[in-house]
Amino acid sequence: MGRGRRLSPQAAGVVRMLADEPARWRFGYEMLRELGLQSGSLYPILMRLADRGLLEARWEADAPPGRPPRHLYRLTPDGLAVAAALAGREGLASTGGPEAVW
Amino acid sequence: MVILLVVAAVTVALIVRHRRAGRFHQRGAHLVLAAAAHLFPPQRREWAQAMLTELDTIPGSLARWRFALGGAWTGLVASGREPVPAAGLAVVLAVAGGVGVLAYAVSPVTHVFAVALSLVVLLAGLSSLGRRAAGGTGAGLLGVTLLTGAAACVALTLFGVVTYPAATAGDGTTTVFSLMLAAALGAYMWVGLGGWPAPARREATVAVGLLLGAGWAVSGVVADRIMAIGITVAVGVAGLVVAGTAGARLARRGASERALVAAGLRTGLVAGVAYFVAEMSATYITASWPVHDPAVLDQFRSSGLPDFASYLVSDNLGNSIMALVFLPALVLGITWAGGVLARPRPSPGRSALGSQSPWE
Repeated sequence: MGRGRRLSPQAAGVVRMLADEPARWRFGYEMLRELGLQSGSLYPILMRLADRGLLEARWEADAPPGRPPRHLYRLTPDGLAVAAALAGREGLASTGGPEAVW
Repeated sequence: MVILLVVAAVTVALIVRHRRAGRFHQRGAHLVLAAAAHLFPPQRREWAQAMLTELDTIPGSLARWRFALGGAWTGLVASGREPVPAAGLAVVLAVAGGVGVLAYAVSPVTHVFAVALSLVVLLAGLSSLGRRAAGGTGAGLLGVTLLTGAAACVALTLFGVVTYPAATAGDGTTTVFSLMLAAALGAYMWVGLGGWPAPARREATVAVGLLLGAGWAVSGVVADRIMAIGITVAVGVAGLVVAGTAGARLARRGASERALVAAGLRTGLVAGVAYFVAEMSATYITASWPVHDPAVLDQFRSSGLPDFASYLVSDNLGNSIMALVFLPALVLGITWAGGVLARPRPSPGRSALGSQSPWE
């Protein structure tokens, strides 16, 4: 599910970033700073990735006192598969195609 | 005088709120994003809440404002909407084009208005399609009232332009007012098509809005004719008291600040269209009546217009267009101020800022 449509370059960047540490939950602002995106770009991407089953989101379970829980994000197994496919396509592109491997 | 009253009431409310909240300087971006949270379709409310809680962790005023404005953009345009259906898109394009062509056909002088109106109908329609594709719902009675009111405003404007051509001379002022009218009507249509969802429980916003808008317009026209400015003042003040009292009642029933803002804005929007329709209808009915007020006659003579009816239509049309923008702000400010002043003080240790859900 959710692998049909090609990801935009920005969405692909989000997926790659999350795939670097697949077990780690990320905050939205942390992702904004690392990717250099604006909230008006990042959050629609996160919504669409979640709709396609590539991203899972949850509320922070152990928020510090005095602050409400924040939303956290990481890739689902389907999302990790998409990230691997992206990495594979980039590998092929950098080597000039499958023929060049052999 | 009314403007000063509004400014004073809102200032007092802000001062009271500042003393209670203690973190007023951080509120601006949060308020913008909280208001924008209402733009998110219902199935995206959790994401809106996620952005609000994330905003509260962001250091720095500039970064907070950029985040909040991005959230507003997300809610308005890009909250993961599903693709717009082709049939619906065709309908929107046909309606937008038809409205512009009709406006231009009725009066070629209004070409700026015709083009601007087509554009805003198109934008409002596309936004509505996107919301409905994502599962959003309409705005109920509020929507019907605003859409009917917007259509009536267009019809009354075109009637005036055709019947009193001297009233809209085609100069720069007419262009400015044309664009202002189109933009205001676009905003009303956007809300009417479900941009601001109907309240979860029954709310008297439509009835109160109609009463306020029509009452202010009719009292003004009557007062002008019988030279009794006191009527305008009395009805104006009474209307503001009604709005403030409504806000106070909502606050005492536990409505959140966001609910106060929403109720005030809904009431103000209905008051705006009601004022426009009542004012211009009364203007056309009384345009040929004799005038006795020397001040009004002096204003007519200095206007350069060929007849008093054209002057009256021109003047009142301009006022009505301004009312579409001014009245929602006025009613919103007074309703909110009434609610803030009537709200009980928060208990010690509990932040009055908080990050309450916008829908509590």
